[in-house]
Amino acid sequence: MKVIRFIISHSLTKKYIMALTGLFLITFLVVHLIGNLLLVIDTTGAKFNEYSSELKSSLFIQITEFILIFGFLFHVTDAAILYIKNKSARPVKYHVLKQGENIKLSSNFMYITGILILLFLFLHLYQFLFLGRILKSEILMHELVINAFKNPIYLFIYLIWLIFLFLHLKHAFQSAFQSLGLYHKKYTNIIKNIGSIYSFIVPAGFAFISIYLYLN
Amino acid sequence: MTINVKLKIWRQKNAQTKGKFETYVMENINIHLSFLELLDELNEKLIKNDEIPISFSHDCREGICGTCGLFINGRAHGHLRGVTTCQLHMQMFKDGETIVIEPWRARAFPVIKDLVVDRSALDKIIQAGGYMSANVGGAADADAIFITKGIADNAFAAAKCIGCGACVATCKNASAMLFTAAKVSHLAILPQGQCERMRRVRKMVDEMDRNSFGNCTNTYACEMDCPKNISIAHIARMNREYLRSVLT
Ligand code: FES
Repeated sequence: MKVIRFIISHSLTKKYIMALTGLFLITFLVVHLIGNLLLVIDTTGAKFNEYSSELKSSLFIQITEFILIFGFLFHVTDAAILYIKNKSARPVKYHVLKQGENIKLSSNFMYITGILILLFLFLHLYQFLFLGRILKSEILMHELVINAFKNPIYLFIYLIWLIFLFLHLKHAFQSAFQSLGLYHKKYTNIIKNIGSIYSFIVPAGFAFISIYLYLN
Repeated sequence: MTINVKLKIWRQKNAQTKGKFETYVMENINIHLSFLELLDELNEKLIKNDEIPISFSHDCREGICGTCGLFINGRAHGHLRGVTTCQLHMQMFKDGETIVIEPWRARAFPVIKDLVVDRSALDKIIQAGGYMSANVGGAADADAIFITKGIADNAFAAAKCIGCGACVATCKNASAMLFTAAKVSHLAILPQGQCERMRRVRKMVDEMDRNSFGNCTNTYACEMDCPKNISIAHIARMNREYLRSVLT
């Protein structure tokens, strides 16, 4: 409790938590993408089903998932606290504010992209985690996924979601390193470039798989 | 050469009253005037007409004291990079342009009158630890302490902060991270600052948190509007220093 109070009442500790949970989620996305690639590698779905049932039973995965949920909740709660605090730090707004001139679009809209990602995430979790795992329905995961992506409306929303994810990640990647104090004349540019590549490749990968499933 | 401009200036009698914009037309303005001289001319006009002149802060008028600071057309110290308001000249504006002038806006910087804000929150951060308590005597011989040119330059780049508050003003979260970081970083780099290094960063950041500034979300707007071009690398150093002080 003491630790949580300490984290919440200090601006920089909140920042570290944001960065650490963010980096954890960033890593998770890669693992998730690799898992999803099975849908393309083996179109019969056998491998994917095997993988998803493995996920259900493995203790290691269950522990990681537990950490993931906590990390995610921390990330979102932290963002909400920051949002309220930051809004109240400027009670009177500027009449003219040319923010576009000095900051990048993606960094300005982290909250909005974050909320939009969160909203769709509920649907995503309901669709796959709840129906597939928690209800322990008879339908296999592969079938569930195919059914979802054969629906053009779902696919469309999913693709839009990925655009928001891209924008969110674009700022998030380098920002996490900066928050943890990892800035270096030489390496920060490399981190930025990796961040740009990552933020494009990961959503693009998910998009590719979903379109592939829709078309086949 | 002269230009005509329209000024939309925030007028507010005191901290208690609500302010509003007033419009003033300035004709035949010499383009070599500095921005503050433009306001001087306007004030002379106002005084002649028996009106109350506009209050604005200024002192050195050469970009070293950090007293002046206006939010001009949506940017702190105007759109020109690396200058203070007093170093901004009318040649940077177009003929017939409307210029909107506002005070720094932040909960931590309450308006005192018109364009003057109370920036003592920044002083409090310095008072919390932005110094060395050891008496180091008179200026030592430059060769007495061995540091490389790189370190000296880096510390100097941070020490250039004049405490104008542009970083707070321009940050969408009204965060004072760049200011605090510049001070922390400057002393953390130099050998003289080592003894109090851990204590300093804790005290200064905690004081910053107590003063209703917002939190940094790494938008880096501060770096773009800082008249002394202070890099966000110093913020990263402060993040590092604070993390170290929390963990040890
Ligand atoms: S008046 Fe001193 S910096 Fe502008």
